[in-house]
Amino acid sequence: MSNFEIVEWYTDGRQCKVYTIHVLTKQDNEASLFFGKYGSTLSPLHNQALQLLQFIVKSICNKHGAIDDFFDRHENLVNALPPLPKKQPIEIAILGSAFPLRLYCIRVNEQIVILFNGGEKTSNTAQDSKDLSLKFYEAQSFAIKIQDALRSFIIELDGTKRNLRHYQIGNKMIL
Amino acid sequence: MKAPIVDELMGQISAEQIIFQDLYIDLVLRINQILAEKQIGRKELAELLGKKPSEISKWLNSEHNFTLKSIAKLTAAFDEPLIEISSRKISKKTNHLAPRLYKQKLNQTRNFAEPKTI
Repeated sequence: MSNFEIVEWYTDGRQCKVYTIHVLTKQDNEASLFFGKYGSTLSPLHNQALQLLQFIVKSICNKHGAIDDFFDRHENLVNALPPLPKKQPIEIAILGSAFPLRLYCIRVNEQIVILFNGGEKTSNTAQDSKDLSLKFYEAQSFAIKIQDALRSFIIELDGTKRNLRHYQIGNKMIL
Repeated sequence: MKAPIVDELMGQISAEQIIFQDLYIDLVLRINQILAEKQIGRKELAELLGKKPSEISKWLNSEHNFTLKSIAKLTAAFDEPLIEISSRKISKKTNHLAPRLYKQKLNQTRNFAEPKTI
């Protein structure tokens, strides 16, 4: 797997900061690639992509933080957004059941989430969904490297527990 | 810091949609809070309102468009306020209305400020 850098993606939230990863051989980071593709006005899932983005920015980043209720869709080493359909919190009910998109991520703590990429779920499992399976396996690989880096303190939290940094280089986190 | 795509896409979500969703969420949370405080189940609420339980579930689980009438019914059934209209006055300095409209608004209790969230 290619080297990648953990980069900031949305840090204006009062409750939670979002990072994503930028594979060094690609032009853009994974979260922007996801929303660039599905958020395009030409995408048939344009509205759903906007709903998902609004959920991340408003409910996770600014209102509640990365609470357990929002990260209960476990897919091996990663989580998938949106959360499983349920009645509470109400922000999840509004998304509805049978939401077609999956955005993979890992939650470091309630103040930090790292987004990967994702796609449209068209089968019972991610592995069988044509659009999603490659992103599912990539997300697992990213998660393994990030979790190893966190465990060995190559990547660490700062004193506020709200920021990630490389133990030597600081803001530049290349794995 | 925001990735450019965040601003680009959030800008496509209409203010109306954001406000509607915020109001809806706050209203449902307030209703659920009252139900818990007064220990009223949804079935009992349905009976109070003369509706089927399934209708009440739809109200509280999906994007049901509450009418003022249904909000009034709930307020009466709970005997608890659900929404309040803000009494914030429009100051001369921040007024964006035409002077004629502004003069008509003086000494009125109504104004166009958004309702207070509960």
